[in-house]
Amino acid sequence: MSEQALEVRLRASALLVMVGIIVEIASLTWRHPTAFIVFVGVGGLFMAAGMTSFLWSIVSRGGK
Amino acid sequence: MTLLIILLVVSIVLLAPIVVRPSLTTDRAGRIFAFCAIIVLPLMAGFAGLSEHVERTKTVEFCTSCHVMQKYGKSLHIDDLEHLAGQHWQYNRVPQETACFSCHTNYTLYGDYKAKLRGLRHVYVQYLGTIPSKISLYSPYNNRECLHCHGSSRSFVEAVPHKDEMKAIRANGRSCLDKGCHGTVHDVAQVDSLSLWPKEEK
Repeated sequence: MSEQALEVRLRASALLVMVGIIVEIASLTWRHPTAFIVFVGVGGLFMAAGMTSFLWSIVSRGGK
Repeated sequence: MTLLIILLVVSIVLLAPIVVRPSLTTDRAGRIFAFCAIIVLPLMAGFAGLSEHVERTKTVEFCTSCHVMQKYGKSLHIDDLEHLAGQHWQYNRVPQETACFSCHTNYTLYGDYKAKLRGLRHVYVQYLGTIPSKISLYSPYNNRECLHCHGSSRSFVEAVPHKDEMKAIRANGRSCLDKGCHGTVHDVAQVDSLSLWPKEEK
């Protein structure tokens, strides 16, 4: 993987996790079952996607 | 809650340098920083947030946020000592903020999460399914939920009506909620016509 592609992936990973955390903060502003669903279903998915993308980029980098 | 917000904000702040300058991960220190910012801190924040949400699901406000449960919440205000739910809530015999969860969960080791999984099914029915016209318990109310608090109390042990039935009550053979005993619990059919406490709750 080229350095530029790696940087794009790292940026995307961080952004995905950031969006997930912002969704989590938003879900804490109301008390309703939908808040829990949004936290897990939307925020959790974004965070998982970001973390998975980051870990994949580490593995793809080949230990450089 | 404050610590959770701080953790979430710190997570976002630490992610910002990676978004702005991903090249900082070229050296070892940068990679360790990225790992902490993208994996470690968000995981901690995620678990803390999950814990906060699970605690919120125990509150009366949460339970009664669904329209179908609002009459049950109103029944906590019925001004009549014969009504079990109202009596417990008004006299703080259960924590007022988590009154529903105090009685409607199992006190076994895995009770909390079993109850929450059941709650997820309720959300599905609320929005995607058909709400039944009559809501009833999945299984008869277990005396264990009453005896958890009342079992060793003097008023329970020395109550005259309990003496002949004590063995059956403790073995869940005779329900605490039988007609003639403590059979009036929520009474949602009558709640709109009954007097409430505090008076302004209508």
